[in-house]
Amino acid sequence: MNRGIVWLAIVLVAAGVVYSIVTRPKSGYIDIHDVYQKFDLKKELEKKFISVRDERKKITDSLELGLKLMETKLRAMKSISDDQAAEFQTKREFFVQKAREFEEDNKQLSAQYDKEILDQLNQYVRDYGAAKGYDYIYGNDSNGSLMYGDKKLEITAEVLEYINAKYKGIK
Amino acid sequence: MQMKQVLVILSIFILSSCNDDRKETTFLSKIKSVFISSDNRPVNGTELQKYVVNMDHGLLKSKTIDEVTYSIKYKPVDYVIALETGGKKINAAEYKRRREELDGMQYFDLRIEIDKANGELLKYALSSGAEYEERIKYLAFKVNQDIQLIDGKDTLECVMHHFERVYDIVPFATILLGFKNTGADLMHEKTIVFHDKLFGKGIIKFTFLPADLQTIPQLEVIS
Repeated sequence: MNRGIVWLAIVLVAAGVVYSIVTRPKSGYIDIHDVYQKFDLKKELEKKFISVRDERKKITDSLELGLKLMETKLRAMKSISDDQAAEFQTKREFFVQKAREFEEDNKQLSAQYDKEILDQLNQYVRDYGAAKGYDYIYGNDSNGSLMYGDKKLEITAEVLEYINAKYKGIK
Repeated sequence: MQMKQVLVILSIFILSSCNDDRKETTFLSKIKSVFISSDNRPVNGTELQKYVVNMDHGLLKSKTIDEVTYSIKYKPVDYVIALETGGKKINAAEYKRRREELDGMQYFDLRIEIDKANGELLKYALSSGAEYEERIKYLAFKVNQDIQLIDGKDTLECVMHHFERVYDIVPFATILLGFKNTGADLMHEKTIVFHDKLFGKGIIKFTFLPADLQTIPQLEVIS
């Protein structure tokens, strides 16, 4: 009977130790820069943005070229009529306005895409944490918010794989 | 000796209950679905409807980004016929005729829902009355321009869509989508790509896997 009590004590202590280890808050950390750069949505929206920006640049380049040609032509003339001067001025104003408009649109589009990327990235990291039973996932963005993390706790690769599968709509 | 065995079993039970992958339950359901759906034997209309909406079978998918939940349902032609017949059996001639009519397209339902919200989806977080009108016009006439289907190597435009409007009843909207059926085999994935311009959540994708597409049961017909 005494031996039974000893065994019971040993097993309960062992179970208690293991239980306390297992139920410790589970935490890990990710390299935010790496995850952001390798997130498929970011890559796709970046391509889209570059394509839109380049198309807009083609338009302003074309307007600028037309303006320069007209300027050269006008400079070569001995005298310029009021109509010609007014036409040049109108074209110049249109070019300046268009360039400013595109610059503003590019900024807005870039901000919109950034928000879309971050909304999804944050959601998928939360989903990963919930699915894998994490209590905390820290982000290392090299600005001092995470001063040290054991390499064993780094889950950047796993999170990246998960969020890209989640984005693709497989998981 | 008996006492020791009981204690060992007890401790194993305690330890196994401490598994930290608390929410990882999909593995078992996947195994289950593989065994259940490994043949595409004919089933009646009601069974087919239940099969399609069972998320374990991979034809109904969902994802949540912040407060917005997007769901997409792949609707095989037999499922569309089953919906039309309301679960009643259909004869072979009628089935053949309807199938031929529907076969040229691939059908999906896209549903957008706001979590924990009441009332009409389109009235959620409005900045102005004009924005409400814009949202209606967008869903009724333009949303198809932001939806594509990548079917194997083909990228297909959404050639048909219908916005099912609800008025102040539920916080979700359903859009019926149709893409050309290129006759691509089911060895490739089908990915729906939706660039959400309604709530600005970016590109939303859903991928249907060949394993799920190949195991869809057929609709039972009366010969």
